[in-house]
Amino acid sequence: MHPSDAVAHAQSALEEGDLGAALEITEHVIARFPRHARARLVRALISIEQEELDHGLDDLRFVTSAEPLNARAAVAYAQIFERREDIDRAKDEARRAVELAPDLSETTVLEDALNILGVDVDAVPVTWGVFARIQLRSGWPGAAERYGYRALSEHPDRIDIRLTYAEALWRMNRLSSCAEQCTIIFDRANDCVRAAVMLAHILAERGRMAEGQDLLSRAGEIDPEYDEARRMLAELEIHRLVLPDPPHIDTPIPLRGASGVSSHSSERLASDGGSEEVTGEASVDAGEMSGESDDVRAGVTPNEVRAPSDSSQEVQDVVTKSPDHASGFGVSHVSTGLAITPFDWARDLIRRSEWIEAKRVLQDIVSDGDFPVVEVDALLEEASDYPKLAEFGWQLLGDFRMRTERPQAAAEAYLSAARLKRATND
Amino acid sequence: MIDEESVLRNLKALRDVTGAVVWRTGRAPVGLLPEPLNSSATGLLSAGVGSIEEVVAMAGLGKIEDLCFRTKMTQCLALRCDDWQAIVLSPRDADAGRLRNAISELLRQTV
Repeated sequence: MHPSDAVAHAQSALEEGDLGAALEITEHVIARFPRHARARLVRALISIEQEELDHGLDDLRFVTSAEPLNARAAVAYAQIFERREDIDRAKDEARRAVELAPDLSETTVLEDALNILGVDVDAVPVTWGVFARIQLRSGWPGAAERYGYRALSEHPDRIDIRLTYAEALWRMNRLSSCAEQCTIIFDRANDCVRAAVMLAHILAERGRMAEGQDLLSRAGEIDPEYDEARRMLAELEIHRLVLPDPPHIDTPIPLRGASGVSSHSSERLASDGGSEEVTGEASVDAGEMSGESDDVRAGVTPNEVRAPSDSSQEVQDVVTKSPDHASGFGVSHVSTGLAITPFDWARDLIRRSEWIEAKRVLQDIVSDGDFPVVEVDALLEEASDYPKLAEFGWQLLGDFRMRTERPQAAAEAYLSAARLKRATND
Repeated sequence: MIDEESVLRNLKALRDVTGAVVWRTGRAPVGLLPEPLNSSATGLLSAGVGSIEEVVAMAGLGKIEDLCFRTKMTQCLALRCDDWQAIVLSPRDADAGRLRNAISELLRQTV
């Protein structure tokens, strides 16, 4: 049995009022996987039933750090605050739960949240954050990014909104901006699985395979079956990360058959947006890059998971292990990991003649728009010295100069690109 | 929020328009241009118009509102509306006045 099946049984037992069995199963899973978020959520719900609110809060803090989009956890928070007669905070959490409920089929979560709010669903305002999540789920990361940005400017402290914004950036392949947002997320929610998956992918894309894989394996402590990672990475055309097989767990007490687990319980546990069908694209914008990659040319088909390349061993030497694996993903580790700038990545890729990857990083740097103009100019001019990158480099330099409102300098760069193109055609 | 791609599509849909380039201040230009043109034409045209704009402003003549030139085969009209700038290619004998009005109206709606 997979751990998630055991947790579903525990949830089912809880719903039937068998707190003893629910707790026994949950503790059994937590003994094997101390950071299993879904098991910790069920234990929190049991604690609330037993009026052990402090224990419940401890587990919920961890769950919301690991899964900031978990609507069920938000409702549980609201219920604890309500029982403590802290009505304002209870309503804040209930409002957040309504925003997070993936869709209206999440009736239990919605009902519980609306009961606390004392209103009908029509009375709940639709926010920019909700729009962002809807757009992301509908496969429109560009619109999600714009709504997410607006929502974030109104609520910069809301980690759930920042996570949606980061995911929109990730799906648009704006990896540097996404990595920046993930680092901010880790400051507040240092167990966040989704941020870890995105960052792991980004590190792997930058050729730092060992670090990416290491980060992913620590996300696996929270989600041992890698459900979240599988869902997110499945949307990509290709990725380099290796997802381990789901582990099995024995059960402490005889469990009823699969039919004994109500579908309702699995619905409740999945109330975190993780079950959303995100159909967004993760392709690179530039035409050439979206159509062809080093992998395609090497005969690797889309969606095929590649084993770590030998070159990843190079970077393994520079990996700094997190000092404390038991408490979050180790922000210091992640920050240290990002201390190598995109400029270094680009130069390293150029040095290794990985042209397609280099183009992606250069494009990313220009799209970000947050880097010093002089440095970007210098990097693109350097890149244009390489015949394989020359035309692309000059074109990108022209775009960058237009972005930074230097049309005359842009004209020079575009002219260089045009001359190269003409020479190639001739 | 309207993006450059949709403005570009709307421009391209105007009567007599054979190609268009559009950009916003602080963004890279995007273009839909006819096939024989150089692949850098989008950048070249936008940077060229931007350069003329800068030169004219530097000379103290103020901001260019529109700019029109003709070659043997085409007519090119560049217009600015706030942060938005568009360049439209049309046949040499197309009605420039009508095109100017149509583009201005479209850009005004975008702003």
